[in-house]
Amino acid sequence: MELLEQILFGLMIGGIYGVIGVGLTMIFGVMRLSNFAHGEFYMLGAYFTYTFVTLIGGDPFILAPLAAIAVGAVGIAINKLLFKSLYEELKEAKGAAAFYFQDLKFIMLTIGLSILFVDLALVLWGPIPISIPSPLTKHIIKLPGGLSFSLARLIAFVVAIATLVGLYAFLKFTKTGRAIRATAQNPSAAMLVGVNIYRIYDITMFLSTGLAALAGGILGPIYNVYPTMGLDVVAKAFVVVITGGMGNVIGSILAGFLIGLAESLGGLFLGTEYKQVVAFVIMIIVLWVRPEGILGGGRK
Amino acid sequence: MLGITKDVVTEISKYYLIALILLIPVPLAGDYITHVTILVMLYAVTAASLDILVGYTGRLSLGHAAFFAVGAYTSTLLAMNWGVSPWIGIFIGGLMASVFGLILGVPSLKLRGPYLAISSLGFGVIVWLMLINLDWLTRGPLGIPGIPPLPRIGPIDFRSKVAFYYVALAFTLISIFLLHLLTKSRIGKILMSIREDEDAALSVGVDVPLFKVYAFLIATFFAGISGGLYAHYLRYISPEISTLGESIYILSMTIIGGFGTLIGPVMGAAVLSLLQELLRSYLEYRYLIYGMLIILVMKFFPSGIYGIVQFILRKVRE
Amino acid sequence: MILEVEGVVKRFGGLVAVDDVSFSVKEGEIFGIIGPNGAGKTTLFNVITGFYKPDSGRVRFQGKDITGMRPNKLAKLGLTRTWQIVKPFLGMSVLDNVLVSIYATKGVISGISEKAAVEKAEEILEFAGLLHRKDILAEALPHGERKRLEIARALATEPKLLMLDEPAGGLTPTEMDEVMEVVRRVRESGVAVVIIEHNMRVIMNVCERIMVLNFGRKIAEGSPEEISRNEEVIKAYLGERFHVRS
Repeated sequence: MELLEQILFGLMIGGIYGVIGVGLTMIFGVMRLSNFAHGEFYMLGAYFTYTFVTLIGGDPFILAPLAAIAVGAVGIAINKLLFKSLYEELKEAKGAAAFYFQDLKFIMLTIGLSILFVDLALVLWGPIPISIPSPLTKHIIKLPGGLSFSLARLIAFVVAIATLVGLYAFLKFTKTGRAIRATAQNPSAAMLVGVNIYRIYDITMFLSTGLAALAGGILGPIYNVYPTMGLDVVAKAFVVVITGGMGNVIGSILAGFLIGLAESLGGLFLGTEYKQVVAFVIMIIVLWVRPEGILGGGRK
Repeated sequence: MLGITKDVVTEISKYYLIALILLIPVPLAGDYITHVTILVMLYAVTAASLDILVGYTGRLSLGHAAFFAVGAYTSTLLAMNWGVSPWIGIFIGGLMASVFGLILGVPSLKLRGPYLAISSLGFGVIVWLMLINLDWLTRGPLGIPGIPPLPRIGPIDFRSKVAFYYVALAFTLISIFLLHLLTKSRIGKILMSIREDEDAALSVGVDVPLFKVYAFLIATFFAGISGGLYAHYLRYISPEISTLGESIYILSMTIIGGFGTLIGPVMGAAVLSLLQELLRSYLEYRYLIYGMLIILVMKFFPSGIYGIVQFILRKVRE
Repeated sequence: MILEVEGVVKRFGGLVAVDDVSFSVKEGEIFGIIGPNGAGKTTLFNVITGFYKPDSGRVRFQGKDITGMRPNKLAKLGLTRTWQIVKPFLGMSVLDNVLVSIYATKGVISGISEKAAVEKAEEILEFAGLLHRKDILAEALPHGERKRLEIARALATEPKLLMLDEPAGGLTPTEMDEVMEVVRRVRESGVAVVIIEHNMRVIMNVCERIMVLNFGRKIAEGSPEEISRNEEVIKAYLGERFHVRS
């Protein structure tokens, strides 16, 4: 019974990992940017949701998408204000090559952003962990056989799945989605066929940061919210992304579930202290054995 | 040998001699200043060693503190469980850090892009978790107190801050001197070519993966030794020294000081440690400032503090 | 034969970039590879020089099978390439750019004294007309000089076969003549050269034999005269102007 419960929990958390991972893999796939501040957008999503709940009142699950949009806007602002000029500068220096975002300077920039945001959160909301109140956490669902979990977890899972499905559909079937995929493949070629890659970069930042924020918002009521929660998550996010193949959206989704499951089961069999290690060991194994990720097609 | 000519050696030695002379009288300023300077020096070597990896080879490592910790714990455990003299233990600590560097580095370095950054992040977390969970070995989060100091040489007792200071000074000057020579040598130039353009380096015969491993081994070795010295100075260590936060703190020193300049990170270590002391009452804003400094440096002064100092010196000469 | 390429195939997903291409290059000759954009020329280069592994086929250099060998090993064996979009070591001086090649091929620890290495590097820079710029950072060089630095750096590996990917790209006619002069001098010193080029004037004037690729396949091979009169070639280039050597 414990086993079944852990499997369920694992899958549920896996869905969330998928949402966080997908944002990170997108920003890498389209912009080749390794966004080390990704965890901080997750964190901001949680805090924004908390702020909205205290200011406006209402259920965090309704307000989380709002927070996600707000954070997405921050993401676009960062792209326009901070990234664009550096991008142009590198373009000047390096000539006609593509993918400037993978330059060391950008990665360091995101690290700078990361610690800035963490401290900002510390200053604005204080170091004490907050929990976002939601009536749904009290609602327990009992399944036959003794399994039980809070309604909040279920809703979080459902929202995660819905988001992933929606994202997939968006990327596959809409015009913008196709433009995004084209830019990921080859920005120069995409430009030639009329895609405005700067706009695509903005959209990608919006989606990526927004998705992370959404995950933060819906997990807020279930776990605690504290300034360094992003740091705890970002390493895991990268594990998901590498396991699934960097830039591979489906890969990240699957890897999310895989890691969630592996963690839960690992915690069951090895003890809760080793739960955390599981994800990273998987990453090291993937790097050794199949660096393109389990589905391949990840950029090396 | 290695492309380092006598001229280069004599030219660089001048600076180290000056630094030596300036730093000898520091203990006169009192115990507190001596203590801070010792820590700055240990951080300086660690940040400079990271620069070999980040600034000269162009590979980002977000887990450097883990190697510092490996050195610290190795030397400590060797001394306390097997009576190994810290003079030897510290050196072994450095080697151990390099071994760990090899374990992590080999698969990550063969790959492109930010793989090293990501796996170093994960590796740092694993090391931290191991230090916390393997409590039969490491005493977990409680840490290990009562670490033996460096054994006395004749009448000199290294429990005194002043005595240790001169050990640290010698270590720091020698280490950075060696690293400096490295950057001016053929190996240094090859590492830089890797930083500039890996494919081009490959096409002219550079065994890129091999040299990346070399850079990693060297960087982690010096971090490990710094860790060992740290352990026998403070005589207490805990898993705190291996956290992501520490790694980022070290990286900040390297970046803000000016990566790719070796001396920049040394300046970065001094400046950030100074900031740490000045901001004692505003500790929460520390990372806000570091974060902003990193962003400013990346956007406007890629050569960091070193670049600014050079700029000022040039203007003064005119 | 210094280079023998047999039946090389390279696919990317569903796309066949190089489709069963075979050719050989004689010692000391200048061999040209032309073809419309996307014909697979650079991909072929990347396969030969070890940056891609072919899906099938073999590559032999001086009789030895080098298929899939890593580029740095090939450079040490005497097969060096340059890049279509030049890749100078921007933050390093012109002299250091060339020195890196020498260190990499001759030896990092010993193998050649520093004095000899610098002498050799300066010799090569002179050969490429860049000696007066030796202490300047590569990023300060204009495009034409960067192209020559690219060749100089490759020459420093003492290649027996030099593979140039569009050495005339983006150059003014004067700069082009300068680069071609360097290429001729390279050939005179006994080094075989394979050139990918778009510029017909360059190819026709410098190459002894030419191979034409289209859609990844070889559609013609022969002397410049033969190529310029070949029906297939003309059709492939329909719409593009090119100068014919008369």
